[in-house]
Amino acid sequence: MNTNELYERLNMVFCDVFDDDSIKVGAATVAADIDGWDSLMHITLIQAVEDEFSIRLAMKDVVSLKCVGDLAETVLARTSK
Amino acid sequence: MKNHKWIYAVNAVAFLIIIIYFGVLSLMLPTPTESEVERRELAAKPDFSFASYFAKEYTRSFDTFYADTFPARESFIQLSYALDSFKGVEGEVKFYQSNIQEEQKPLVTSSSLSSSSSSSESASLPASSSSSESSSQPASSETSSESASTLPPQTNAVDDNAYLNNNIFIYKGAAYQIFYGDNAAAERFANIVSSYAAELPGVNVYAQVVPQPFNFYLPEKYRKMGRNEQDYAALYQSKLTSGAKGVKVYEKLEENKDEYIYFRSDTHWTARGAYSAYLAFCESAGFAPVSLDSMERRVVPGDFYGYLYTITMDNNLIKNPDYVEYFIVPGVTKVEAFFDRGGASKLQTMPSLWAEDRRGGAAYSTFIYGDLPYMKVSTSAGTGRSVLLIKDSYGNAFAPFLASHYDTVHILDERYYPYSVYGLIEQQGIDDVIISQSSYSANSGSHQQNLVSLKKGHSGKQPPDYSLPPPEPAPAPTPAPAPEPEPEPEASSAAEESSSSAAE
Amino acid sequence: MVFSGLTFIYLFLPVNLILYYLSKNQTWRNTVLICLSLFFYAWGEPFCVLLLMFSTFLDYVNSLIIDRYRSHPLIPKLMVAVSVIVNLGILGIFKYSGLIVSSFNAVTGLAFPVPEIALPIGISFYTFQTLSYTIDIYRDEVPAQRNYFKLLLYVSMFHQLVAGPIVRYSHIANEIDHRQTNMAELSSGINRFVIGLAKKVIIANTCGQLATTYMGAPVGNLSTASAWFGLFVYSMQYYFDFSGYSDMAIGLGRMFGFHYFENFNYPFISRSVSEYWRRWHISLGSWFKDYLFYPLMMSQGLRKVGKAAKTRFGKRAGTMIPTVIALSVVWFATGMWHGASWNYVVWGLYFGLFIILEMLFLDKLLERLPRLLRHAYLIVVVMIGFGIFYFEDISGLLPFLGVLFGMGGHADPTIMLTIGSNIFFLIIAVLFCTPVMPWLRKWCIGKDAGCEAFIEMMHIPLNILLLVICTAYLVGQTYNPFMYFRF
Repeated sequence: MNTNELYERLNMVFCDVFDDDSIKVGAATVAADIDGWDSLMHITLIQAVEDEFSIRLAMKDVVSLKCVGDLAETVLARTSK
Repeated sequence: MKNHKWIYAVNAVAFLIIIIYFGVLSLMLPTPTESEVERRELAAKPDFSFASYFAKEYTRSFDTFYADTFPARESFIQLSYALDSFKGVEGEVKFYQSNIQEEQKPLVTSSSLSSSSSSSESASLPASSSSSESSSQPASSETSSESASTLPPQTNAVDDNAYLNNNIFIYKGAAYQIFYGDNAAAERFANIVSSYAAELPGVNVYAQVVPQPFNFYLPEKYRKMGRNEQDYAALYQSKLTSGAKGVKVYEKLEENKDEYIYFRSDTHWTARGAYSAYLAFCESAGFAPVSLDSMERRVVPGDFYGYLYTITMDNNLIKNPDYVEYFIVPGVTKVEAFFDRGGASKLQTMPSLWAEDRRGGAAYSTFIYGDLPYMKVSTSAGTGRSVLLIKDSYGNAFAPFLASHYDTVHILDERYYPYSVYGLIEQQGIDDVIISQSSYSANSGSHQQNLVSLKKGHSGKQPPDYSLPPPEPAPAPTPAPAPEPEPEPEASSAAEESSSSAAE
Repeated sequence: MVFSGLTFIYLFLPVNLILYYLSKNQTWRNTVLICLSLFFYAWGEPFCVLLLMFSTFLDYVNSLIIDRYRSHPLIPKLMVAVSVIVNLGILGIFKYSGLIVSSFNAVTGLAFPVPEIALPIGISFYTFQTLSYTIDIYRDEVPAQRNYFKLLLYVSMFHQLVAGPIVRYSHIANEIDHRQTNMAELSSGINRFVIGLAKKVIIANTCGQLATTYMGAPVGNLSTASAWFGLFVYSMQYYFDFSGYSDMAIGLGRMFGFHYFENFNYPFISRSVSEYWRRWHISLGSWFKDYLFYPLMMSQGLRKVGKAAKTRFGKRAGTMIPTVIALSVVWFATGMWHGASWNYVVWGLYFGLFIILEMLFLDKLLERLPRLLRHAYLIVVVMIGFGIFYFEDISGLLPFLGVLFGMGGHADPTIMLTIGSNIFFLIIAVLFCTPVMPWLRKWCIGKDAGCEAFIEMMHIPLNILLLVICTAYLVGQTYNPFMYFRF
């Protein structure tokens, strides 16, 4: 899975979770950029990502994610295992 | 941001200088031990002990001590009150919620509490300013002993607060508190008075309840918040039985409300207010009142700033300051009293019915020396009758007028007289009993309790017969002549007596 | 000792600053801070200072073990469980044993003696700190501290020990060993401290006096207007008291080179309850989020519930149902944390309910309302929340709420007098509930960049003025004339 593909799939998850097809995420996207990304949606998002990539994220990942770049890295690290 | 370095330095240094300066000052300056303005002792520096530290007492006392003796404390207090006046706009009526804590006690350490009331008594003798008290005794000067001598008994604290509140109105240069009486309490008061009448056959029992000034002066809107005291008086009077008589004080005061009958800055009434009550009493008792003009009028020099000024520090109250006038009722031949709430085996002779040396905030205690437990006044009235006045502090201004109509006037304070009142009445062959209470006291459970427990005496003891030579106290040096301070040993033996009686 | 006490400001703080800045290296400075922090705590808690040290020691050891056996399948889990159980156990015994026994008695009709245990100062705050430390080590978010005293410094640091903010170890781990102190930091710390002090002493205490008059009055004496006024000043008292305390803590931290996160962000300007709770006591909210809400949501149980709901009721239910469950638990716990009385639980669940409703549909509804109405909605919800918070006893709350909504009550002519004689104060207090100062600062600097130096300079007289006024009020509180007149 290359980076482009990864971000494409992540983007899909975001659009789905936030119910908004206009969302375009990049590595630098943070919670404040996306309407409705609060702590409640955060968990929904994490679980949607887990489902999409068939991985399990650790609490550390859930808590310390700062931007979509972090998320992408984490996903990459988990899927390459 | 980079160029502001000197600003940061000045800022930091200014702050540090202030806190260090006051910190050092607070440690170096001699610590005052009493506050004249507040009429109380300031907290003393606690002694460190592990016991008090682990009981969390030491640090608490230290904090209190530190705040009580902070450098320039009184200036800071004045500043805080001055700042308060910028908080809003002032209308015709001002309303204060006093931030003074409910339980007022002169701050004394727990170890000295047990002896404080009796030891200070010895210092509150007329004209005494005994400065050489032993260090264990909290009262060391006139001002502090004045406060301590009026220390309410411990039992009083709680339920007064239900009716006494800290809401104070300032209107046209005078301070008013609202009275919220309740009917059940009025009935209880009437029942207690009636029980005196029933249990004392052949004695006339009168009750007088002194209303609060808000009834007469405060605009109706605010007056309506409280209890109408005319109704209140009518209610308790209608419940009196066994021949007890209610004196119509309210009506007489209302008649004279254009006169100076209440202090503007204090909670008490003036001698003129008390004179109105005296007129009402004369009507009840069928006496011909002595006119006020026939008595010599004297005025305590200087202004009188009463309690309500002390707690509000409202400027309106000092624009037209109070003064204390008193009227020399003729015919007083001898005044005797005792000072110790634990009781005394002998009476001391007093130079007069008025403590003419009282000044400033203590000026109201000019009347019969304030709240002494017991005073006996002999007169040349020649009526062959004697009266007992059971009173709270309102009665102080009223008591002297009785001298015109009775050969002997016994005055006792319902809070502090330790002996059996029924015993006293029997021993002295008293004809009339007047129970005089401010409406606050009449309505208060603790004062009602006092009136009940007085019958047999707070200490349960019979009054000593003062006509007999006093029994010698064990290590007795000869008692000093009247207006001198009482000698130490007597005070301490009295202290033991009072603490033992308190234990009962 | 409290920050807003004369003993602290004029004895403890100067001694602390002098000793600290006389010490040359970090080790000595840390020693000064630990010693004085323990002294600070022991001033109020002669015994429980040992409890604090024990609590810290336990988490210190546990974390080292977790770190050492990180790859072991069982040991880290076991140690974190021990830590959670012991920490919450201690908190439970000290804080909730009275409530538990009395509630048990009430339900069963039995009469076990209700233990009367004094709550150690700050235990709710530092327990959460030590807990978060061990959990963070377990989650491998930060390396474990090898030096017990450095961990003790984190837990016992007097700035945040008593009333927060709940600082995370990971936020200051670096600053324990490497921190900078300079004039700019010291000066800004002082500014912050003085502002916090003024919020507490000038605004909160004055509001407190008014609140006592109207909230503490027998309900029969209140009118609807005076009940609302009482609630209003009580809310402000609580906000200025708590946020002032946080300001002082943040300021003190900065004086000694520590940077704590903000704990309040003008909560009363929020437009929804969820926003309010992102602005109010932020460190507590984020604690519950990280250590309770996320773990609950990620737990096997709730995941299963979510899956089941999804297949049965659809996608939205699949996310909403687990969230509602988790939120209910979180807000029950948040309420519980605030005090050992059921009204706090009611208070927590009350806010939880609004957050759930907002999540489900209320947010969408509110968005259509004009801004002013959304503010009004938030303020009313929050104020009633403060009413629930104030009355520990339901028998006090219900009549009060009754008067609040026009049932019963009594004409109270004093209310207009009180508002009149405090009108300037009230206006200023309300103004400071909004970010008026940051706006003003931004506006000035926008007009003229040179303004910044001027603003910095103005802090000097402002600090002196506020310090003198605060001292006057603190000394004024001790003014306690003897009530000789009590008839």
